[in-house]
Amino acid sequence: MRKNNTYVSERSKLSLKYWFDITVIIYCLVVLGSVVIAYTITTFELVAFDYDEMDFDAILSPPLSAGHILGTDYLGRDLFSRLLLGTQAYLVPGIMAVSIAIFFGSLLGGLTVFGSKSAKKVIKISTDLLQTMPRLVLLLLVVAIFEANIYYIMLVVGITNIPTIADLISRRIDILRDKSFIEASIANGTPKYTLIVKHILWYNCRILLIGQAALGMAEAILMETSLSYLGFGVQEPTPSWGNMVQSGTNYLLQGNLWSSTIPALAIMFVLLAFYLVSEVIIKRIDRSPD
Amino acid sequence: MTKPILEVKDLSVRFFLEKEKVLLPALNQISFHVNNNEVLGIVGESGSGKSITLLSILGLLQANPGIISGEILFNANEANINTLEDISSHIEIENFEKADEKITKKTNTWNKLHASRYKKILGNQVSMVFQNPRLAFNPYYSIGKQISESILLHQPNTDKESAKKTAIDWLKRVKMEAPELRYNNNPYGLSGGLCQRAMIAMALASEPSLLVADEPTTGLDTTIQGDILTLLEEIRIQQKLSMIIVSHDFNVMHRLANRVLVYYNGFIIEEGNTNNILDYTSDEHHPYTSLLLNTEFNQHVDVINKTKDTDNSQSKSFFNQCPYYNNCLKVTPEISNKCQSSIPPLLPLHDSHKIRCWRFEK
Amino acid sequence: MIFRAGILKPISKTLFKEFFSSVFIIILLSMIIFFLVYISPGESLLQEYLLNLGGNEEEFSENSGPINIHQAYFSWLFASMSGNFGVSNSNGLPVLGQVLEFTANTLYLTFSALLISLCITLPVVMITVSNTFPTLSRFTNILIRLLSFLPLFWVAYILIYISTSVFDYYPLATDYEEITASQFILPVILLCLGSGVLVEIVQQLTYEIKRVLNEEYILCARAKGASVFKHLFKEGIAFPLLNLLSNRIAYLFGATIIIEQIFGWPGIGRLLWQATQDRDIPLLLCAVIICACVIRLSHFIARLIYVLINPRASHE
Ligand SMILES: Nc1ncnc2c1ncn2[C@@H]1O[C@H](COP(=O)(O)OP(=O)(O)OP(=O)(O)O)[C@@H](O)[C@H]1O
Ligand code: SF4
Ligand SMILES: [Mg+2]
Repeated sequence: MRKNNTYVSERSKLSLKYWFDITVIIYCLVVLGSVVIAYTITTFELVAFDYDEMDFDAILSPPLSAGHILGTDYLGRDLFSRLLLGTQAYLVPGIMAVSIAIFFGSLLGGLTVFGSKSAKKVIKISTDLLQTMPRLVLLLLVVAIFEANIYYIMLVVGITNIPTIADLISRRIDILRDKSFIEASIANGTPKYTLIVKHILWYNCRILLIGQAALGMAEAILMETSLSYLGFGVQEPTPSWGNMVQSGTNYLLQGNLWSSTIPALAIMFVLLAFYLVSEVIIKRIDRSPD
Repeated sequence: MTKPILEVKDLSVRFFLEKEKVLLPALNQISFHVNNNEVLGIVGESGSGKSITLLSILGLLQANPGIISGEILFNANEANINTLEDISSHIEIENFEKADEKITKKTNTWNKLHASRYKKILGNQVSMVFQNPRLAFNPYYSIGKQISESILLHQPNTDKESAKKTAIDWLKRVKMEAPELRYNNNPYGLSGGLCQRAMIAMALASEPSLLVADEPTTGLDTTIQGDILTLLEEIRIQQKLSMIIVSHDFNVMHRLANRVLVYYNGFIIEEGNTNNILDYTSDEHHPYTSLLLNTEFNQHVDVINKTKDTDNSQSKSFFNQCPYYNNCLKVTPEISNKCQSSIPPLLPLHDSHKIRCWRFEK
Repeated sequence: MIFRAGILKPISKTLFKEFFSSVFIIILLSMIIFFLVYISPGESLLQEYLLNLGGNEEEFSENSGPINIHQAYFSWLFASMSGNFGVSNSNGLPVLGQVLEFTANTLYLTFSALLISLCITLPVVMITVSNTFPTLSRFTNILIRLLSFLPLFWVAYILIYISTSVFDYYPLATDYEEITASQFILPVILLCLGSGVLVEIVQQLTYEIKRVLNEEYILCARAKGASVFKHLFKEGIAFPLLNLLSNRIAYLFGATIIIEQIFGWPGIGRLLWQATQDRDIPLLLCAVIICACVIRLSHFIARLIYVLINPRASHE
């Protein structure tokens, strides 16, 4: 067979689509790269940031004012340093929430392959139970019982996302079963572990899972901002983007737009980058015809 | 002489395998025609491109880049419609002859144009029996509904009641027992053979002038097979139907087909009248056809031991040798060089019997 | 006609099955919530509440130590089974009436939000899937994500700011009794944007439709000249939507709280929040149970519709 043949669809090098894709990749690299850099800088304290220092001469100053690139908040604290430090609140907990949801979700979903009736029932009841519980109540109760720690919050967010993933995967399994794929693999002598992990989760569900991971990240971070609004998120003076937006909005209606807009946009740009990365990955591995 | 109802000229299809970055030649310059009220049979090994040919004729080919050149002419109301008209303006091919080829296809605009051209042809002119009938029925509607749907679509001024009656009538004609009950059955409630028959009923119900059938008798047992073949023959005579029938089964060819094409690896390697092709006593066959005929009719021939030891690593570019060279047992020293360095053309033998093999060069 | 009659049996069977599992789940849920309330600080309130239920006064007053959780739970369960959820600690009114009224308010919000998000997402999905305007579909897809990735309350404040400073109109409800259409529309739109409904519908539906479009029966429908949409509808659109919408109602019940808080909307989210803030245990327990009932009911209805439109469900 001859190699190195090329097939080029409409995507010629000068087309709009091509430049669009390049921009997307550069965008993702820049945004996620700077998040990771900010995270490492603040974790290892490579550069000292005075996130708590109050500059009373420049309260609620707009971006690009003297000494403060992104302006200051209502106490005159530098927004840029707080933004960098805010990554601490999200990166690890957010990834934790997503991995909990995906790991246990695929575990529960995957277990339905074996189709023993009682196992299915137990799985169904436990996912239904999680789904029925209003998530916010659970969050509020957990915060009330323990403390307003971001890890507890993300744990609850992750756990309450399990049913969605389990449901997606078990529906996917039903479709595969319909096509006699699972029966054929079992008849082939594929070990059950290989069947679930490799054939079902990896080959047939990875697109779904990657999409859900990006969504889950968004949900986790937005959940924390919502909780911050109610006063249960990460507690001041430790900065998180959620409580920065929250404290900023108190002054928004008087016309001080910047101190809440900047962290809000930061959240949006980072989440968009996560989404675009998931889209790029999906495009690369999706081999179904257009 | 009237014009043929369907004419295919130089149809070439490529598939792009993304992972391997290879363009797979699925069909190479296929040309044939189907006359009015004639049955054309296609035989060939699995994966030789038979289904792809049928899907291309119906404009249903989806993977990239798909059809890259050729003409498909439908003769409708004495006017020829070329559904691949203008395809060259949507496609750029560089170095078609050389090893490295680059194909650029504007898939989006092409698909739209293609679909609009086929709007009037599908169902009215041509309908298809799919290879895998269980998957080809929508599992969420009863088969009866799907059959009467295609009646309602293609026969204007029929109401629902009469469509239902006709559908039941068709189910009866394909030898479904209790057709009134089967009308409400869903596809998953039918066996493969029953689905096959319902599929044939659905394809015939829209009363096309060309029926394209992809292995219509594979899932059926011998008695039903005979019934279905009789039915197809009957309908062909009654309704002046033309057909293209794909099958592995020489028996089907023998009973139905007027002419037969033999496929190998995306090439037509032999074409001719049925009695010429199926004449296993004759020696005027392509080596692959003789192999097929021998396995079918002279079972004592031990084919398995007769495979050739070829050194695949030495074989040159696929495009520049006879497609059958790697398995051919009839290469003689005189033509061996030719076989290795060029693709033989379809060489005419006598009354429209053509063979793609250098042995028959005069 | 024999085949038609057969459909009733599976429906009634699923009805029963779903009903009993729902009851079981709600009881289980009440246990969990009760336990969480029990271990949360301020347990004397729980005791006081149980005394207010009226039933077993002597029993508790005898041993003034910590309440036995089994006893407490069962006395609550039996009281609530008979519809007596007690009276609110904060305003002394029976909780059930309040909760039902507030739930109805939230349901208006959630259903309108779901409806509007369907109106927004379906065209986007259709454009994406049909691949007619690739650039447009790409931009609308990203736009929807952009809007959904913004913090909800920030968008709300910005919109209020614009409305007051540019249009000189104050969009917040001041009088709960008469909520005008214009006061209603802003919260509903915000709820669509801020709860991830849009993204989830777009993402899932696009995926499902693309999957179904590759099925062979769609190819067959096209070969017949039939409408692809019709054949696609059940598996590609109806089933995933039923699933998504019934799942999202549960989520929306939590997400409304921010909106209700900002716009002064008397809804269940706010009630729940107030209840946890004030440690108003009767109110909290009652609200959680009612929420759970609504969520189970929506799942139940979704399941019913699914069984009705899917002839295969009776085979499962
Ligand atoms: N979507 C696709 N992408 C890539 N290659 C394809 C695609 N569809 C078909 N092919 C390739 O095209 C070739 C012809 O396939 P086709 O389905 O026509 O075989 P066939 O002659 O109908 O075989 P069978 O008798 O088994 O049905 C095969 O080698 C197959 O691998
Ligand atoms: S051309 Fe040569 S290799 Fe090809 S079939 Fe004929 S004899 Fe065999
Ligand atoms: Mg085939």
